[in-house]
Amino acid sequence: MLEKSDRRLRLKNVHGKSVCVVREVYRREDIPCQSEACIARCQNTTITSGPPTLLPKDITHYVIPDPQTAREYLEIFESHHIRGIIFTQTAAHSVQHDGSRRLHSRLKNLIKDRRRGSVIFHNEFQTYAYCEREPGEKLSHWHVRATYKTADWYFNHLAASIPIVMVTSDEQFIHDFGHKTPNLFVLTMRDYLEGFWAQLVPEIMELYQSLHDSSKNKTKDVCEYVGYLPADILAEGLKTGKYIQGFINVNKSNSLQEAFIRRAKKDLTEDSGSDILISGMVARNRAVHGDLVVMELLPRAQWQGRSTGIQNPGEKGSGDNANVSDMMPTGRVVGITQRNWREYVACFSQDEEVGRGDKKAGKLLVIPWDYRIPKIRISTRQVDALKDHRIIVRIDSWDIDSTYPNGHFVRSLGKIGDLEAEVAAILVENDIRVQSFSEAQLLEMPVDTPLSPWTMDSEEVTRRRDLRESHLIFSIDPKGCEDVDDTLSVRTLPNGNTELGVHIADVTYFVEPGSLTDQEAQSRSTTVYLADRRYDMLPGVLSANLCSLVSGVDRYAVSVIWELDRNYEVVDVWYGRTVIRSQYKLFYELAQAIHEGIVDAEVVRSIPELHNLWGTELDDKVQELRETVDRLMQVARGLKSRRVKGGALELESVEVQVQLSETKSIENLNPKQHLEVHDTIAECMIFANHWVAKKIAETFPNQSLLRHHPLPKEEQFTNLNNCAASRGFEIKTSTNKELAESLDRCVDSKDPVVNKILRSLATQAMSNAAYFCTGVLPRDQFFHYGLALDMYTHFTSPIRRYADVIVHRQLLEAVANEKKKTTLPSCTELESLSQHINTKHRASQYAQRESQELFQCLFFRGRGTEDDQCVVDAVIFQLRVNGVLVFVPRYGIKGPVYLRSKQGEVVHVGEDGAVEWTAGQVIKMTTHVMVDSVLGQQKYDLLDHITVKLSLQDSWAHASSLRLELVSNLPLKQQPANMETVAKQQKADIIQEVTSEAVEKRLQLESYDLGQNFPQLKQEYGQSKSSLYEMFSDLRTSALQPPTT
Amino acid sequence: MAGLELLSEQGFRIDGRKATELRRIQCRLGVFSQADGSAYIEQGNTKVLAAVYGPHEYSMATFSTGERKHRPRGDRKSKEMTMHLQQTFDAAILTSLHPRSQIDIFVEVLQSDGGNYCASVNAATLALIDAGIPMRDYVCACSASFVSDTPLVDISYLEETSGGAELIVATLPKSEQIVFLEMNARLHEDNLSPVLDLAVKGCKDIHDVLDQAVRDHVAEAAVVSGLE
Repeated sequence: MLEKSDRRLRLKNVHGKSVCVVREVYRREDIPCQSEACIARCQNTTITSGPPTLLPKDITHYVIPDPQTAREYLEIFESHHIRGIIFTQTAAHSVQHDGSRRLHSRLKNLIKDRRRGSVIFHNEFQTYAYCEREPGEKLSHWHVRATYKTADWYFNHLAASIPIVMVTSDEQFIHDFGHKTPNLFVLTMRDYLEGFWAQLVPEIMELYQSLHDSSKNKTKDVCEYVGYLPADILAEGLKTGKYIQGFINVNKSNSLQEAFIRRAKKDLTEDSGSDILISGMVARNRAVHGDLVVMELLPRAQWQGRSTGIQNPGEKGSGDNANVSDMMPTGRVVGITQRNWREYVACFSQDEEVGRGDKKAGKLLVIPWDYRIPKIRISTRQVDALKDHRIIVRIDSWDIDSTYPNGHFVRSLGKIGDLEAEVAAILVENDIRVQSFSEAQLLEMPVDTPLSPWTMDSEEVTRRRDLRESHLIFSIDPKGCEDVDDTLSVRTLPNGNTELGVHIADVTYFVEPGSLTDQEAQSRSTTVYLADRRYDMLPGVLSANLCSLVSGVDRYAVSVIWELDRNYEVVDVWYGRTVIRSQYKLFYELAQAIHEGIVDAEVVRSIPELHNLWGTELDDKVQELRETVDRLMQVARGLKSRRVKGGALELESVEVQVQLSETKSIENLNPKQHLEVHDTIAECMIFANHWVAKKIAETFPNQSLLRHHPLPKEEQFTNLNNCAASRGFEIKTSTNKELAESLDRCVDSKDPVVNKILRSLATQAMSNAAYFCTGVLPRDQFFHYGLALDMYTHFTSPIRRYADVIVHRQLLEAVANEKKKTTLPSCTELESLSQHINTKHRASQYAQRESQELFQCLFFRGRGTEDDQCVVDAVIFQLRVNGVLVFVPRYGIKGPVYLRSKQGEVVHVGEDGAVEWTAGQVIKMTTHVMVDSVLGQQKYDLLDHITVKLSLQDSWAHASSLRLELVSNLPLKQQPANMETVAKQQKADIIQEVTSEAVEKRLQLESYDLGQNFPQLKQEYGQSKSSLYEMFSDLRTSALQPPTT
Repeated sequence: MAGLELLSEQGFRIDGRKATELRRIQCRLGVFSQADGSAYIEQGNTKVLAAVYGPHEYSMATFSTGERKHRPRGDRKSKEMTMHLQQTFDAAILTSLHPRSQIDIFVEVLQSDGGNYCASVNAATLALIDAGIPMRDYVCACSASFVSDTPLVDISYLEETSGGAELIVATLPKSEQIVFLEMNARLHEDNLSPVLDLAVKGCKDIHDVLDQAVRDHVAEAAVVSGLE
């Protein structure tokens, strides 16, 4: 323990003023090299759970960047092609102190990612790799020398078995040492990339060039930005309350003028609103959407109001005073705590003159896809090639004298308007990475091919409870679903009690904690479903095969089995690993039909599992299935009524299914049907999740992963109350039970849409449900508001959600007999993990929504204005000073309808139904909007039905959107998507659907071209979400983005 | 100092130690000729001089910390430390053998780099032994902290000031009795026992070092006085 060497190091340190401190440094010989190729058997240790990251031994070289290179070209090293990077401790410190916090956290993420095989080497602690800074030596020179010493140490330590490349920008040093030792290279970044990577990854040179240019080019501009205050003054000001800190949120529809900062709770006083307005680019002072900024409140005399009109994103604010609300706190940015710059999708301006700023220097402005991001100035010489491409751009800096931020070009996504490029843009904007699974990850997977089929391990089977013979197990999923992760069983016990079982795919059996697959799944966190495709969290062999609980085969499962008495009280509960064999794989519509009593012949025809049976055996089976489905629905109803009594909310959504024709185009957008059996499955899943949450929270009070749903904010209910009041209803929002009950009462027998809209407005008012670690929050915040449960988690979909995988591990550890050393993540690890999962979930929901919008636009692209599918019924749900926001039940679209045009003319609908624009004004009241024109007055109430025409508003730089135009202030005569009639058609549809499946199969083609083989893609990817809860959170997401913002 | 990584991914602390390693301890007994007993100890960069006799006082030299400032002797901080030292040694010295007498311990911190109390206790123990005052056992003190779910032993000034919990414990190493325990900042109940265990283990390690120093000193004294 005490055999260490000890030398002192003098460091100069700045604490506001410069002082000289002495810090001791202990050096040792046993600092591990962390390489797989090590012959000295270094002991690798790590403080986190899981195996340590090692430098791989199967690569051509290790690269050691010097501190300056690491700082300037970290982005190149972030490219996933380059593996085996050794960052010296000196470089890591330099990135942290001379670079930025953000840069340092990017470096840390790079190291943390075990797939990258990159490490930090503690060269300053290693006796032989350390080099003392000589008196008077320049810091940069010492950095280079220390890096070389490390490179030299590695070279000798690994006995020259792997070439080492040191990258530096010090030409003199390269000249002196470059050829000293063979296989120990000292190169510049350019030479290194050209020599090693240019052949393999050509785009890396472009990235280098643009990084290099942007570090050289500083543009001079005239602008009135002021400098940021020094960090200590900001810290002081924050402490005394003079300044306010918060994330800046730019208003999407008025991005040049308005940005807001939400105050933290502790800063709230009674007379101040919660948001602070930052008006104009000068006051915003170079902050970009998402940055953590420090701001100063302006004196009350300079406060301004926010605009309340509807504006098209991207259009300039009109500056019209009539559109402005009451004064609100206004401030200006005085400092930036943290930049949250990411990769932005952008494109060059269509307008040649504007785009070419300064052609000689190769500098031009690009327009980001996200309206909230300002234009970015980049340097590139490839304008002509990239003119009509969507490209990725990163911001490097925003100098005080520059109107726009400087950035650099990263890579191209493809041509604008191309479906693949547009989808890629959605993915990048939401920070979702979807590279295919690597070779090494796939090697960890069990093999299941026709030649060597996967079989169960007989030893493993004996360790598990065998339910194959004893239970009738089946699954109910959307049609064509591949990754079946939940199955159910229900039966009556001899004592008259009911036994309900939920059996979930045992993913954790296949995915070891810390394995590469686990790492990958963790970084993805969720399967991403887009309108036409999906990106799996786990490799296909697991998600679609070995973990998928399809019928007729033996599968491992994790089961929760309850014994319920007649009142659905839980008598007993059992958790554990099981072996199951699902007997039927049903789909929702079929299960509902079985419940409603279709004839046996239809049942048999629809269920492939029954095709080989005849006679009485068949009758018995059908009878048994029918009884089981009925029993299940009965049990679920019982469970649900108990929960609803507790105050659970039922919320409404209109989901739209993209129906694509077999050739190319999108045939129709159909609202999805909601069946009782959906609720049944959702209820069973909620029940299982709840009981698992109870168990893990009890066993690991400090480190279990739960999901909570906090209370909604009272002020969010204003619009809901206004809407309800316009029809004479009252909404009570004090508790979830009262809210649920008052929503139930709001039923207008003549207008079924009213209840749906009110419920969806209630959903908008909800706060976010989120994962958290139990050690972090006080016990009384564990509750789930929407489901009215004291504890909730996610357990039932481990194939497509990483949170469930963790919960599985926790549950299995909780019920394990032998108490071995726990490998579960600790409280702090779990908390950061849950944050990560929350972010990823949100991102995937946004991406899903955006891709649905993309497809909506594609649907309307080909349609003329006369197409009757474009003229639809809409319901007003919110009022603005120049128009109304409407909801289109037919397509589930929300959007603005203008009653006053930009020219100031207002709309008037004449007796004959003709729409005229004339001079006049629009007056907004609490529950209606008055249009006062030369031709007369017209009134638009909340929840009024009007008729609108949908048309596509194409956009070059941004996502295309739909425009809604007023056609008539009366409801559309024949309502195309009347919910009731569609529901009645349902039964007939099922039979048709089952038969057409065979036809669809024949149409499957080999190519991957989207369009030609839509049937196949649809079958593969066209999943809906299985639980009510998902639907719920979806809706919440859509509510996050009201159409105008 | 924000964002300082106290414990690297591979488990190294800022000064290159691992979580369970003490700083280097160097000590000498009998550094003053006129005192009854005296000792000097270095724990890393914390350097403390202790002498046993005369009226008691505790103070810090004006030049001891990284930042030089005039520190009045007998300020609140010093008084508190004096009281802590007094309580610690009340428990360890067999006072019943010396009725109606007064034992005075002078402690001077020459350089401070974290763990002032611990070094003071360890120095005073050596000085008391040098003075030949009967004690139950050595009194050894050690600090510990808790960073990224890992307990750290014998924390330096940098680790002390970066906001984590600090646990200071003084023990009688043979019987593992705790004579003094202090805790700064908050620490979750569940984590207390690993941190305390590590601090107690640190005390035992310090004991080994001090014991060796005492034996060496006695052997040397024996040679000088010709007993051998």
